[in-house]
Amino acid sequence: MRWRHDMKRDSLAAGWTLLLATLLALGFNQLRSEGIPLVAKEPYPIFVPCPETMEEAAKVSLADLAGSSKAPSFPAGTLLIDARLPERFSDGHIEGAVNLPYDELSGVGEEEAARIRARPGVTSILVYCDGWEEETDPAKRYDHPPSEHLADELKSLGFENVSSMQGGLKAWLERGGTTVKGPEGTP
Amino acid sequence: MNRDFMRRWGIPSLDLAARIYLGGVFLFAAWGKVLDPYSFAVNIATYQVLPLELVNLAALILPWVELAVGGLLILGVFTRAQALLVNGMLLVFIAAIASALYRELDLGTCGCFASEEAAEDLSMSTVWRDVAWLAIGAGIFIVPERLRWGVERWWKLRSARNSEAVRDGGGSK
Repeated sequence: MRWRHDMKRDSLAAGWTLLLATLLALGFNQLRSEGIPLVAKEPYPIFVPCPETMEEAAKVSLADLAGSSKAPSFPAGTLLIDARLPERFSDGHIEGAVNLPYDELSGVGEEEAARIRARPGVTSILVYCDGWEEETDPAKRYDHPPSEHLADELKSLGFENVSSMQGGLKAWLERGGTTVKGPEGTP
Repeated sequence: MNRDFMRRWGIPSLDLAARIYLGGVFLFAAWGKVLDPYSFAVNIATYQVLPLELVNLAALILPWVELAVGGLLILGVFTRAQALLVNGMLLVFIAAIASALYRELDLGTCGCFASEEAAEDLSMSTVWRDVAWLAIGAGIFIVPERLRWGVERWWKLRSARNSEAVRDGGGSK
């Protein structure tokens, strides 16, 4: 009985403490200029870690693919992925490529990965970007070309036969390759 | 002799030390959050356990509960009730941190303390630390009120002495 009486008293005192704290909190928030709304209107910017790739995709040169000076053709079943921004992709990309802009923060989304998996007849993936030159390219803020990061990430997601194209679009054009314009080509 | 010493000095001083320590931890944890509720709201949102509608309310109220509980615990006012609240909060914190670890959320810091100096990476050691505080809170809860040093006990003794004096005075008339 004594125990029950004490618990009742303690619970009541805890309730009063909570009520007092709540009133102080709401009153203080109301009075100060840095107060926040009682209900957030927009979701908070939650910290998102950079995607970490556990796998390393192969790097292939156009010479490996072609074995001659002319622009190489790609084996049947190769899905070409252009890792550049959509505007750059629209300006000119290798025919048949799809655009999957590399974003170091968000990485490859589940939907995009599912769409790539759903593509019929894909046996290998080759990722390219502008062609990365340490001294001049703005992409040098990355420690590796975006195409390599994207290829590593795709491999980490379980895709097989993924590689990145060394030299990128620059090397492709130097070998006489052509590009087509157009915005279409989302994976 | 030993038992008497423990009752008069040992248990009360241990209880007071535990209350100052745990109350101090809660006061320290509360202060920065009271002054910067927005940052604390971001911390809470990062755990992804509360709906957005409740995030700001929790960010506003929780630090004040910590502040009130920490202060009253040190002063010894409704001490058992404060120990109940402390342990309730610690259980919630432990559940939130364990769930974040289980979901492999990369929170950076646990958000337990607002000051950057006290910021710590979220890990199992955070959980064990909270479990240790939980044990201290439980210890404070089970100490009998008559063996506690604090404002409430002092007030009760004073009131008892006053009413005794009134009764004695009345009887002598």
